[in-house]
Amino acid sequence: MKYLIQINSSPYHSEAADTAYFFVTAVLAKGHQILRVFFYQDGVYHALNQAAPPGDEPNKIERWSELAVKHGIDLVICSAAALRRGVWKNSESQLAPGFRVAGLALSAEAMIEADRVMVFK
Amino acid sequence: MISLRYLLVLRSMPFDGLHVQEALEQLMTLAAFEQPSSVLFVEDGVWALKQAQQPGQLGYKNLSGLIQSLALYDIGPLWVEKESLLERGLNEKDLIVSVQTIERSHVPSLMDKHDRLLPG
Repeated sequence: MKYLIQINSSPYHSEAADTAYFFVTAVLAKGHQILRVFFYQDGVYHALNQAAPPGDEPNKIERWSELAVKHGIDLVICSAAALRRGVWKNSESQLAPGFRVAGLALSAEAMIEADRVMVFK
Repeated sequence: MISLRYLLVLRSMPFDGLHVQEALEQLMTLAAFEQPSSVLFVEDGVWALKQAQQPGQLGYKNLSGLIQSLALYDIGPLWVEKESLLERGLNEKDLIVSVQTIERSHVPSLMDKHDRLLPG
């Protein structure tokens, strides 16, 4: 089954992003496909590339980047939401590894194509 | 193109962050892809529809224009849960647009009629 995951919450605001991460790993373990992870609203803060939590804490940015590398998952932040928050201006090199920028149209396309849409807010 | 029915469910205070504006902008994008969609205002989400708000003082854009323009995108109907209005001392005359009220007991069947439920 093809899943679209949307995350509307920042990494530390709530448990939503953690639940999304564990959900994605479970979906992959079951052999399903993650069509895209779309970071919208405060979710775009996931793409900040200088997050450096203390060594005894999980790194909530890095684990998405690792997932993107390991499973080739498409991590997309919304351009309008990212511009508004200063997360991105004109270069994807400002973003954490594995993240790219696209418009809302890309989330709409995936919503139409996916078998299941899960929004974590 | 496949056409699915979307229902955006707005249930929390409108100016607690930017979630209403951004959720509506996403719905408008879906509308551009000819996906029929509507909105359900429930619980504190109904406050987004109240007349005479001045969120500019708080640093927010007024949502009234955005909500009133949804019809131009063929987004609708705008559903409002009747009990949520009553519990907050509101009635349809307090609202910025004409809406379809729906009783709480009918909300599950409304949701059943849609393919995708989106939280605001």
